[in-house]
Amino acid sequence: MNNNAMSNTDTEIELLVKNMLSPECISNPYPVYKQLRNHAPVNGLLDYPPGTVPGVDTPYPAWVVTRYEDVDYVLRNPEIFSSEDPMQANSSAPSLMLVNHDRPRHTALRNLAKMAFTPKRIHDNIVERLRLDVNKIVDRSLNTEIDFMVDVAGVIPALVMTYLMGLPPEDYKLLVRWANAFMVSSDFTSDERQSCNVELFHYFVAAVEKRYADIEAGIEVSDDLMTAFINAEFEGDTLSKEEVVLFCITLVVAGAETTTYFIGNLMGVMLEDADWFSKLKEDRSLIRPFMEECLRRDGPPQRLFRLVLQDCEISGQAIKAGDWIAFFMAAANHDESVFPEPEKFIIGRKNIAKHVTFGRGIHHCLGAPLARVEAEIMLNVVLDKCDGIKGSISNSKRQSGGLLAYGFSTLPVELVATRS
Amino acid sequence: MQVIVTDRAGEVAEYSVDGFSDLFTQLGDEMKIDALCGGCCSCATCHIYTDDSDAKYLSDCDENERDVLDGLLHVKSGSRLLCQLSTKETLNTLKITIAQAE
Repeated sequence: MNNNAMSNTDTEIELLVKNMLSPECISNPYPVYKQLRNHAPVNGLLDYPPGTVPGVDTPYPAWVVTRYEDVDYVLRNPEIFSSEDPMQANSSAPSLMLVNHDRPRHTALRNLAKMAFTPKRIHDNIVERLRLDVNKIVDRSLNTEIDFMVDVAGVIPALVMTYLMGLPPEDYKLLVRWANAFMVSSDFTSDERQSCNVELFHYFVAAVEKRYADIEAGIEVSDDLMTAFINAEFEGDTLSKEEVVLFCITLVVAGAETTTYFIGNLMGVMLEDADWFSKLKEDRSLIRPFMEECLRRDGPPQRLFRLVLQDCEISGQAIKAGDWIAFFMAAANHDESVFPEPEKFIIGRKNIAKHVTFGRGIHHCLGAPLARVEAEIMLNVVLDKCDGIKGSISNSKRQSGGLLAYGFSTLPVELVATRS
Repeated sequence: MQVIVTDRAGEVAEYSVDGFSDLFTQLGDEMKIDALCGGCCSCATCHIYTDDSDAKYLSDCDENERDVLDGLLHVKSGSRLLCQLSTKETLNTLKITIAQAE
């Protein structure tokens, strides 16, 4: 394939990559991805992995990978593309469990963690509790203009984290702030980011210490994920205290912000086209395909990084061992060779299961069923309690602080209560 | 080996394959299963039902597969993960049903 068949010159492409961190691109990166997909990977993106702090940590130049076929190749070949993150490891940020591990340690850790996210556990431990809380959240948001991101979307995933780890429910606000700072996709100063990382770490050190102490003292502790991590054993392997802390942190930063944006993006689609509200209200079986298309078209996580372990080629471009790549799941989800008319919101696409918002292969998102459950409960409760949604997408604003996630920073809406 | 597969829409199709890994790839390509984790016994999106009477021909369910199956809502007797399946004895024809998405 002639990778430079399309129009942009090398200089234009370099400029395009350089401008990827501009607020305009972050708030709507899809036109840039479209141009980049006409090219083999381009080197030179200076971007920040989760936890690192712009202005403090120094990014390595990364190859930008945007075509579906190439992103899929990276995801499916963990032996070539390592998840170890030297930039994050050299920063003051806590390392992420699983996300930044390779086999064989990754397999052992995943086997410990995956039991926590089984559909059964989510159903038994979370669904009813969450439904009650989401009912309360929506009840207090009816018939008045709210910022959906602050009042609903930001609350649900952080609350779920407090359930999962047995934390005081009121601490959800702390978790929201820390997760936002860690994920480098909100407006924080570098000092604020660093102090959030430190607070997050100390919060979980204290919480985990207390749990170990309670267990040792024979005090009955709640049957939650933190306890499960402490007691987890797989083929004689257990987690150290520090690993339990890091697992808790990983859950918060991986699960809170991304799911918040997902829930917000679902509401965004309903504002874009008011017909969706009545269609979904009438036929709830459309909720799942609606969510999947939203995950494809507006999936929050944009890209991840990998360290190249052996010389390879991506779309004919030679990539050397030691190079650093940023691969864009969101760009792959808009690859017109896989998803025709990618900018259109079309539910029931035959190949919708091919979207890579949750990754693929050994690093696929363990929390995917949880994110779907949170979103589905939100939609069902809003559809149950409301006759419609008032608001205009033109009053919303997409976050423009970092390229990691696509989502609203503000989404004013009014949830109109059903007249009884 | 012939495998008669009933998919989630209830449609029945016959596959001629060398082994279950071929079938796993084909069903993934046809979007009949998500195969999200690529076959590493993690995501359970290749959950299928086999007939109890065929158990003697099929590999035993190891602890890892059992752990994943135990975490599902729609597990029943004959539940297996296609990505973990192999044959213990020569088998000419097998019937499987793809379990509903969790």
